[in-house]
Parts: sequence; C-alpha cells; structure tokens
Amino acid sequence: MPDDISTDVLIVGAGPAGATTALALARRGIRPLLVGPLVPPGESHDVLLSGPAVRALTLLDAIPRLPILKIDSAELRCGDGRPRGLAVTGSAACSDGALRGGLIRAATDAGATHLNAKATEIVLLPGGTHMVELSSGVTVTARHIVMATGAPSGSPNGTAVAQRLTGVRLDESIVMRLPAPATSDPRETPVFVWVTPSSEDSVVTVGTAQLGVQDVDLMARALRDLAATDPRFHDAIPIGVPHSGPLSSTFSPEAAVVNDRLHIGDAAGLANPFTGEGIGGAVESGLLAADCIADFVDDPLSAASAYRSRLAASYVGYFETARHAARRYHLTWRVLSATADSDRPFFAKARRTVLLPEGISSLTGTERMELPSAIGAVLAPFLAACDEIGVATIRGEWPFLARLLIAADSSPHERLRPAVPFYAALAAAGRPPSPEYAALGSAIELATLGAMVFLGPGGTPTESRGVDWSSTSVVLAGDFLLAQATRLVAVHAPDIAWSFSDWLGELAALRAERLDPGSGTPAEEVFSALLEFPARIGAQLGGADSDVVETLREYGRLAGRVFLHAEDMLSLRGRPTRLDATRTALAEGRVSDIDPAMPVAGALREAQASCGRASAAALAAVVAVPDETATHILRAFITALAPAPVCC
Amino acid sequence: MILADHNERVVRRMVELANSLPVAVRPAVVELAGRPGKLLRASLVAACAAFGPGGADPGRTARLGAVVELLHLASLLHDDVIDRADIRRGVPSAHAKFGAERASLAGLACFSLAGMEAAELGAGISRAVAEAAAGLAYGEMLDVERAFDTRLSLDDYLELAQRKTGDLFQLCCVLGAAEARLVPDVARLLARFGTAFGVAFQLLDDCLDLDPDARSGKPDGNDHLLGVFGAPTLCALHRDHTGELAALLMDPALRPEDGPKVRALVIDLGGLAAARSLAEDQLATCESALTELPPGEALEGLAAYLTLLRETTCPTTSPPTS
Ligand SMILES: Cc1cc2nc3c(=O)[nH]c(=O)nc-3n(C[C@H](O)[C@H](O)[C@H](O)COP(=O)(O)OP(=O)(O)OC[C@H]3O[C@@H](n4cnc5c(N)ncnc54)[C@H](O)[C@@H]3O)c2cc1C
Repeated sequence: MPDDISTDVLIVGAGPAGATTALALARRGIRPLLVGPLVPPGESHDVLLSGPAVRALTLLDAIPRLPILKIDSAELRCGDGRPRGLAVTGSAACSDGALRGGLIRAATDAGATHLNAKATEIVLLPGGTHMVELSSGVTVTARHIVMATGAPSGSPNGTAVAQRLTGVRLDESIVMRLPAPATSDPRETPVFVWVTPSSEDSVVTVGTAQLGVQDVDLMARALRDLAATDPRFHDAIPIGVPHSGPLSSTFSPEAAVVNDRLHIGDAAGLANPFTGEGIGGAVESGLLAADCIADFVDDPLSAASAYRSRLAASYVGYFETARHAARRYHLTWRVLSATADSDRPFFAKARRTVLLPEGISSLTGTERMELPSAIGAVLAPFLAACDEIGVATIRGEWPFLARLLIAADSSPHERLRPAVPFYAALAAAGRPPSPEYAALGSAIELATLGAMVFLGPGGTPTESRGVDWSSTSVVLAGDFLLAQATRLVAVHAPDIAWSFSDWLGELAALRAERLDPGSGTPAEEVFSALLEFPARIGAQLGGADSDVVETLREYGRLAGRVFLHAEDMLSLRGRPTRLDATRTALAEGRVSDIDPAMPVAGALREAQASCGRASAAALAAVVAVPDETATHILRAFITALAPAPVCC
Repeated sequence: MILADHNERVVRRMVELANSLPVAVRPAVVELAGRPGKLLRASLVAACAAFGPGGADPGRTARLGAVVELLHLASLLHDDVIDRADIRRGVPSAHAKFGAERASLAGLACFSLAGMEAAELGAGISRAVAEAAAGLAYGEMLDVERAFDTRLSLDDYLELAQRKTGDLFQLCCVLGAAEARLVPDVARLLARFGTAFGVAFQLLDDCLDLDPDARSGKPDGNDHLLGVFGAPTLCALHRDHTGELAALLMDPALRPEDGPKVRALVIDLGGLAAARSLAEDQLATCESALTELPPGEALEGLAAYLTLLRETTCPTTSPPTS
C-alpha cells in the first residue's frame, strides 16, 4: 500500500454510525475510506435496534447480513404503574459485535475500503482539504471528513451498562422499565432499564442507562429492581462481566459540524437522553451525512451546512434546553411515572414519543392521502412549513412537546392534521393559498394539540405531599400550547384573533358540557368544533362565497365526527388509535359516545355506521366546492381519516 | 376617587363578560370575577394610561383592565389545580368545588374571554396580551419544575418571577401606555416599572407567606409541603451551611404542623431579610423609573401605587391587615 492516500470521503470510526455512512456512500457510487479498529471477536452483549434503525438498514440491504432476532412487542412499565403492552413493530435484537462486524463487511463488499487503524491527527489545510495521520503511519488527504468516533470518553454525559443473563424467558418481546424517581430532587436524572431477548434459549441482555455522574452501581440496581418486580427474573444468572461505556446526549446543531467535519452518531451526542438508545441516531445521522455528501461531492462546505440543518430539523425535542435541561428531563420523567396508569391520550402519546422515538422521518401527513402528485407537490411544502413554524415556536422552551407535534401518532402519516382541511379551504375559492398562512395553520395545529391535552379523564390525585403531576402537566402543557398558538395568531393573522379565541372558548365549554352526564351534549360536538374552525377560517381567508364557507363549515364538522367514529372503530377492534386510546379510556374520559356496556360486535356496527354516514355526508358536501384542488384534498382527507370497515 | 370608578367599571365589565360564557363553564368564572380582590393589575393599567396628555378613554381603559384581570383569573384557576388549593379569596376554590378538570376548563374559558376582549380592542392589544400569556404559561412551568429544588439559583428564581408575575404587570403598563398613545420613551419606562414591580410583588408575596398573621384564607405552609420554596426559603437555603433546613424541607414526613419550625429556621438563617433586600432592589428600579417619568398628577398616582405595595406587603412598616 502506498504511504499516502487521497480520497473524497474519510470516515473516522467504524462503529454503527461510521460503517452505515460508508455503506450508504458506497451504495450511491462514492467509495469512501473507513478507518477504525475492529472489535476483537468474543462474547458480546445484545443490543436493541429500533424500528427506524432496522428500516434504514433494510433500505441499505444490510439486514440480511446481520444475525438479527425480530421483535414486535414490548412491555413498558413506568414508575409503579402496571406493565403495558406496546407495539414496536420492526424492531430487532442483535449481538453488538456481530452488528459492528456485519456493517463493516457490508460496507467493504459494497466498495468502501476499511483500514484497521486509528486517526491520530486531523488538520484542515488552507483550501479546505483535510490531512489525517493514521496510527499505521499512513497519511490521508480527504475532501470530506465524517467523525464517527463515538461518545468522547473524557467528557461523556452519561453511562450505559449491559449484562447478559441466563435463565430468563422473554418470547421475542422486550421489557422496558422507567423506574420512578427515587427522591424529590429535581436534579435526579432518569434511569432506564431494558431487557432484550436473544436467539439463544433463555439468554437475555439487560441494559441500563443514566445521564449524569454515576454514584451507584447501575447494573446492580437494575437487576435488583427487575428481580423485585418481575418473577421472570427470579432465577436469572449473570453470564460473564458487564460491558459499560459512555453515552453522549449533548447534541446541538452547532456542534454537528466542527472544523468542516461532519459529526455523526454518539460523536454528535445523539443518544436518547431518556433511554440511552443510540444506534438509531447513529444509523440515521450516518445516512443523512452520506446523503448530504453525495448531494454535494464537489462542495464540502455545502454538504456540511446541509447536514447541519437537516440534522437540526430531525432531532427536535431532546436537546434544546441547555440551561434548564436537567430539570426539564426531570419534569418529563415525573409526568411519565405519575401517569403510568393513565390512558389519557396526551399521556399515552407522551409515553410513546419520548421513549420510543419514531425516527427522524417527519412525514407531513400527505403520504396516506391519495392525491394526484401535482396536488401533493403543493400541499406537502405547506404542511412542512406548518411543522417548521410549530416546532420553532415551542422547541426552545418545551422541546418534548415539539416532539409530540411532529411525531404525534404511532404512524405519522395518519396524523389528524387540521392544516390539511385548512389548506383546502384556503384554496376553495380558486386562488392558490399564500405560504404566509402556514403560521396560522401551525397555530391551529398547536391549539388542537393543546385542546387534546385537556381531553380525557382527569388523573386520580395522589394523596402524598408534593405535586399532582397528572393534573399539573395537563394544565402546564395545555396552557403553554394554547398561549403559543394565540401568540402566533396575534402576530401573523391579527384579523382572526377574535375568532380564534372564541374557538378556544367554545372547545372549553363543549368539553365542560360533555363532562356533565345530564347535559346530553354528544362527544361528537367537541370534535366537530375542532375541525369546523380550520375549514371555516380557511374558506373565509381564501375569499370563498358565503355558501361555500357554509359548506366547508359543515364539512369540518363532519370530518370531526369521522375522526371520532374512527377512534371508536379502531379501539373496538383493539387496534392502535390515533389518540393512542383504548375503548375503556375513551369511555372513561367521556371522549366517546359509545355505551361502554354495549357488546363489541354491536358497538362496532354502530360506530361503522356512524362513520360511514358522516364520511358520506362530508364527501357529498365537497361537491359544492368549486376548486378542483380543494375538492381533491377534502375528499382524500376524509378517505384517509375513515378506516376501512370490517365485514361482520 | 377616579381609581375607584375605574375599578368599578372593570368589575362590571368582567362580570358582564363572565355572564356571557356558556353555562358549563360560567359559575366558576362568575364567582371569581365577582370577588375581584385588590384589582392591582387593572389599577396599574389606569395609572399608566393617566400619563396621556388628554387622559384616556375610561371605557376602553376599563376594558383593558378587564383583559388583564381575566388573564390573571385564568392563571389563578389553573394555579389552584396545580397547588390543589382548597381556598381562593377566602372561599372554596373552583378546584375544590368543581374538580380539577372543570376548573381547568373554566381557566381556559377565561383565557379565551381575555383574548376576545383584547381582539376587540385592537390588533396591537391582542399581540401584547398573547405575548404576556405565553410568558405566564412558561413561568407556570418553571415554577413547577423547580419543585423540591433546594439549590435553585437566585437567577433562576428571578427568571421565574419575571415570567410568572412580572410579564403580566408589564403588560398592564404596556396596555395603559398604548391606550394613552405615549411616546416610546415614556412607554419603555413604564414597562420597566411594571416588570420590576411584578418581581418585587412576587418577592414580597413570598415574604408574606412566612408571616402567618398577614395571610388570611391561605393554608399555612402549603408551599413548603408542595416543595415550592419562596424567595426567603431559597435565600435561607443558600446560607444553610449545616444542611439542616434542606433536610427538613426534603423530609417526606414534613407536615403542616412543621410550618412554624421551618419559618423560624428560615428567619434565623437570614432568609427573610435577604429576600426583602432583593425586593428592595426591584423597588429601587421602580423608583428610578419614577424619577425619569414626566411630573404631574399621573406620576403622583403611580408613586402612590408603589407605596400601596409597600404598605400591604411590608408588615414592618405597617400593621398587617387581616
Ligand atoms: C453497554 C451499552 C449498551 C448499549 N445498548 C444499546 C442498545 O441496546 N440499543 C441502542 O440503540 N443503543 C445502545 N447503546 C448505545 C449505542 O451503543 C451507541 O449509541 C452506538 O454504538 C453509537 O454508535 P457510534 O458509531 O456513533 O459510536 P461507537 O459505537 O462508540 O463507535 C465509535 C467507533 O469509533 C472508534 N474510534 C474512536 N476514536 C477513533 C479514532 N481516533 N480513529 C479511529 N477510530 C476511532 C471506536 O473504536 C469505535 O469503534 C449501548 C451502549 C452501551 C455502552
């Protein structure tokens, strides 16, 4: 081998992040140099790959090379709450060593070169080229540098430990535990424990992670906790020694690119601060870096800035609270623990989005709707702009809520997006909507999320001293979202400030009426009002005739009904609903109109019939809307909202 | 007195608005609107509006007063849910009477009333009100998330007081100044006065919590049980080198009966005096704004307003009113 190598792309670090980048670049026809020590063969713990990580590796065709065990279900226990089953479709377990080795092999087979060495010095030369010294004595010059060196061992901000056990049977399901805070000190940081099955019979890996300085034996505490609360762990016997390593959750967009080098994975601080899960972030940021480099092979600076901004947009929600970070993590942790047994939609969603991130594909919600591509092409940017404004509005102060906004559903494309009918109504009079209305669309969506916070059964107040986290978090999150929404309206659409406030009042009143068993106000009314407003206001702002405005109001009301009946249908079938609710939760929260005592078959028939009636009426109403783009969207929205009926 | 007229108009408008609410959320709001308390915020709107050359329109000024008081009511309703308070303004709280969920919705209804009233008064008003409401909501969160933090820094405490209390008082000044069409310099001085006044108010209110005689209708020591430590307690904690106070406050078995003990310790450690001197700093900011404002009747009114705060909150200068 010659002493000096010149390459387009040098990747430093051959862990999951670096190897994924190398593989992705090679798949796009760029042959990078991947530098990093191989893991010595030997016994290795198993790691859990999240659904998004598996999907990304599947796209790269890497999965067939990895000895993975598929996992579709998880059991989550927060605090002292009861264990809950959760679908984690598409996840997998894999031995850490096999994952690392397999990814490097996949990359080299695809055309990347791997050197088993370390980078000892990296210098940025004038003119933008990087010069890198390797431990093997070789000097490499490269146009792009990707740093995939893992969590800095000097200044990690957390620790993860893994230990294999035998004598535990988990049946292809993972166990996750978020133990309750041990003290009332708001500086205590969350501890997370997970157990992954393996392909070996009765062998599992227990993992545990915590941010902050460790003053206890994390693994001992995790094993004690599991043994005390779960009989399956009574006869567990440790195999070998625990593996432990640093975690880094210090991501900030500014630190994603340093000295023109792209930082990915743990080197960018992308581990989830709650769960320590970092392979998802490693794989996803690796893919992003590869895409940006491939898009700008000849322009490293543009590649770097594209990477920085795409990464920032993707990692909403975990990392933005520098000054108050610890306390805000703690607040979220409290809420998750205290509401472990609550099925209120807001808490169900919070559990999911904080602990089981859906990955970085923040889909805009057009995916499910069947729309001609020309229409999708105008709607999608509008929805993306709504997301961007909404996220920018709240991420600084309450990042976890920002996550909720863009990952609001177990399947993002099924999101209830009031911005969709709003856009269509804006277009109803035939003029293409101005992008400026995205701020209002975003306000409507923030307010809808805020209104949803106030839906559902109140928590059972705890008797001990201290805060009732359940009611408290409802008030805090609801007030915060509605105030921010009102602010957006006051700034960007002052003309409708009155109507907007009036709408919020109407929602409060309808919900309060609904709580009174004697009032006779159907739950439908709340949902009707929720979607009536965006349709009405959109039509008015778009300059529609008064009869078209009236038609769209009716459409909005009907769409709200379709949404609610769809909730009923999905929950009766035991399927995940868009509010992440169950039949019982919907009934107890007085969210649904279905009589909880009614047998399932009958209830389902009724819900399907109501849903069918409402969607037929909504589709019929659309006929009176003159603009073709608008009618397409309005129809597609109803069709996507209404689940296909099942045959009885 | 003109202020009395103003306040009467404010209450009338609030009650009128509250009565316009749908019946499901009305009772909780009407009840609070009809027991308006001291109307400190509405009075401040009038005091600032008085700086206008021709005086301000009394009807509109009263409506602006109603806006800030409604916003305040909304936050009281929600605070009571968070604090699980049973008593508000001497009577059972909405939370105690109607439950957490209905009280939350009543708060939301109040917020929406404030928004509609603001919108009727003009786009600039809506914007200022919405911005203050956003500050308030954030302050609410800062206040909750610091629960049981015995090491909360004074900077963090002041940020919280500014958002939770200062922003609303500042809004009063901004609205009053806007109504009187004051030149930007004067408006800015008033806004500075409002923020400092609000923070001082919060600090002094925290001090009052340590004085059981000065507080009627508020359960003694509740905040300590909730882990919400006021300025004197925080100042005392910063001086608590033995850790005795922190240990007492963090004791899961702390009971309402321990109130006097906590109080004595806070005072012993100099917490109360330190918090009072922080309040004095804020009051000095208010005073310095006063010296820069144009002289006249309006200035005297605002100075009197500041004196009122001293009198009602400093038991050392005047006997507590019970
Ligand atoms: C015990 C434990 C269990 C875990 N379990 C899970 C799990 O189940 N699921 C999950 O999602 N996450 C888990 N994590 C986190 C996950 O392992 C990391 O987030 C992930 O490995 C990050 O990948 P990476 O490629 O960014 O960094 P790393 O995996 O740390 O890889 C960095 C690589 O760079 C190399 N390197 C460093 N410096 C240089 C240099 N100068 N030159 C060349 N090479 C260099 C290192 O040798 C290393 O191979 C666990 C972490 C630990 C410690």
